[in-house]
Amino acid sequence: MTDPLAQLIDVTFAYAATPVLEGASLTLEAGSVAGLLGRNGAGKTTTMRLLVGILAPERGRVVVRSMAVGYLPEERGLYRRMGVRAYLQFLARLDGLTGARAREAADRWLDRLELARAAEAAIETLSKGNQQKVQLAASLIGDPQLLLWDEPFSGLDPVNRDLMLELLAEQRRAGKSVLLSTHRIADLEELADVVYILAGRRLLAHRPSREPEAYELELRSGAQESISRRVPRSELPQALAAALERGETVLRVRPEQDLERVFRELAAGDETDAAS
Amino acid sequence: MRRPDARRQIGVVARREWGERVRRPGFWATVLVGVLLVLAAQFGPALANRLMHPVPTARAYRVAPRLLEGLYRQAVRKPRARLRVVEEASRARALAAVREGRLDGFFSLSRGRLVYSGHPDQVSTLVGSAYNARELTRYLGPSAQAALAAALARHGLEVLPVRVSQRAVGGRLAVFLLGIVLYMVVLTYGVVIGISTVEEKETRHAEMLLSRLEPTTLLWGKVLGIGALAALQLLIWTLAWGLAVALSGGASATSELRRLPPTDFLLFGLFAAVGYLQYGTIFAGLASRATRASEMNQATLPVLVPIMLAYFGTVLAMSGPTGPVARVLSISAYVPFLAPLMGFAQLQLGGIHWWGVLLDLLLQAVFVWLSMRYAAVLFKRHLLDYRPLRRGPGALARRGRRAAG
Repeated sequence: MTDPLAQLIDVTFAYAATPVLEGASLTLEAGSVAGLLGRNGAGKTTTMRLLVGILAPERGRVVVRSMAVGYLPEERGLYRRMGVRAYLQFLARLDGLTGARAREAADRWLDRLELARAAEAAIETLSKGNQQKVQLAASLIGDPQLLLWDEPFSGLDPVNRDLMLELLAEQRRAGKSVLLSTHRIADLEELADVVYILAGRRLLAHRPSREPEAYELELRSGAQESISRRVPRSELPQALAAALERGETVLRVRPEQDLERVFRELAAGDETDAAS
Repeated sequence: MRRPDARRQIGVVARREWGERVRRPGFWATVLVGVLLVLAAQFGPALANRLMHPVPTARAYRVAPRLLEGLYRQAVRKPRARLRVVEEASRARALAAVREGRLDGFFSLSRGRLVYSGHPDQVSTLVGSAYNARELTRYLGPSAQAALAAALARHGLEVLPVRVSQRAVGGRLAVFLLGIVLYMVVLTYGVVIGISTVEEKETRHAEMLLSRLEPTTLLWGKVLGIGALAALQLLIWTLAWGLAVALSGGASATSELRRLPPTDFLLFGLFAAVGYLQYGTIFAGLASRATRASEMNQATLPVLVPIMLAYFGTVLAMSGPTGPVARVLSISAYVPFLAPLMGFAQLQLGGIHWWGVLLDLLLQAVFVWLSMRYAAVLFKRHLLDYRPLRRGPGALARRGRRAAG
């Protein structure tokens, strides 16, 4: 068994007098996707910063075995006056690539993220969504083994969000490890091998089930308001057939999100601080 | 987490800082203004003279036979006063004569420069000052000197065989020029370092950068990249000056600099570079502590005070290079902040040995290294600090002390 790529081991951290993490642990295996979920201010960004080395724990250990980390911070700055390609080349060179390889890598990601036409444009002239894609490319350009993405979907339109999910799947297939902080529970449920829920200043591991126990069925009968009801997985075919027989309209069939239920239960009693 | 080679990363950051700023029109506007000022300093006085005196006249120096005696009378304000000049075998004997009251003062040669030493409260000091100020021998040709000697002989006076060397004049000019260059570079590019550093924090771009490199690497890259920009600007101005001197045929005040040996130019560059690094790292440290670019403006004036002090120190040392004030000031050649300018001044005055220069440069290099390390610590420690500073020039320093505690 290989060593984990990154670990927080019994970490305690506070901003001045505001405790954020107390004895929190996290393990990121090579080639896995981990989610990070928590209420606003629970400490997700702090957890990311600890892994990157921007913050140091008061107690406990942070171990990162990756040569490089592709970090996409929540609050993202850019060199706004720089051209897009020049900026990516700059970061690639910081990651150790030589001139020609840096240019090659920049062009590859510009193509992949559909930014090739804006290659020479100054970053400040791009739309917010495109700036976000530049930042995403910035986290990937050095081909790091470990990706730490903090709220990567914010500000993206549905098309670009799909592109992002596609990229995430590609990275996973390429054996990269990803820690993904997001409030999009459905995406985590689908993508993550393990989800760490930040509650009570600890990180609680939850493995989303690939087979839903039940489904949420949303039906409408005539002009009446729609109704939702929970249907166990084994009874779903019969429930659908019966509804259609009664002339009802099936509006939605959604697998019940085990993760959302667990998160709500854990987060309910969690009085968080504005510290993340 | 292992990082790529830090030296390589410093080069990458430096090239970015350089590349981004060298393209800005503002940089070239400053270069152009500087070139115009250099040309104005070179040709301005002659041009003004020509405008005031439309008929060109040959430069001539006539020496009134009683000139020196007249100076003396003017100094002591006694119409019938007489000056007596004697020659002592050595400087030590002359000093002893002053101590014993047999002499009011004496002239001696120090690295080719005529220097007056004596009781500051004696009238002869005034003569010395007058003599130095006029720099008589500098402007006298051989026949005029002979005429002066003959005139003085009639009054029992004698001209000592000394001349103000052109090298010494050039050396003094170089010291003052270094002061101006340092002040200008620190004022301009120190602030650029500061703003560039604080912007990284303000825009939160630093978070992404610190996942790739150490704060020390980032700050060194900034200081060196922006320093290269300053060097380019100075190089262009120097070339403009060289061209102007060549065109003017050497007839200007600054053309004396041409007589300096190449080693002095090398040392000038070395002291200027070390001075820039010293102040540059201080700006990097202050910016690491600041949260807004506007806070850098508060910090600029206090940082410039030591340069001004050093400049006044060099003026004092130049006026009495062998006196007690100059000796005290020679210590400042080893004091951070004062060292870049005072070290070079002491070198020109002959008040420092070659090993002293090496020691001075070594101490400055250590100081630069330490201050950069501290700046990097501050940068990382206060990366996520968003509180604006309280008002007042000492705010950054106060916050820095709290951070260190």
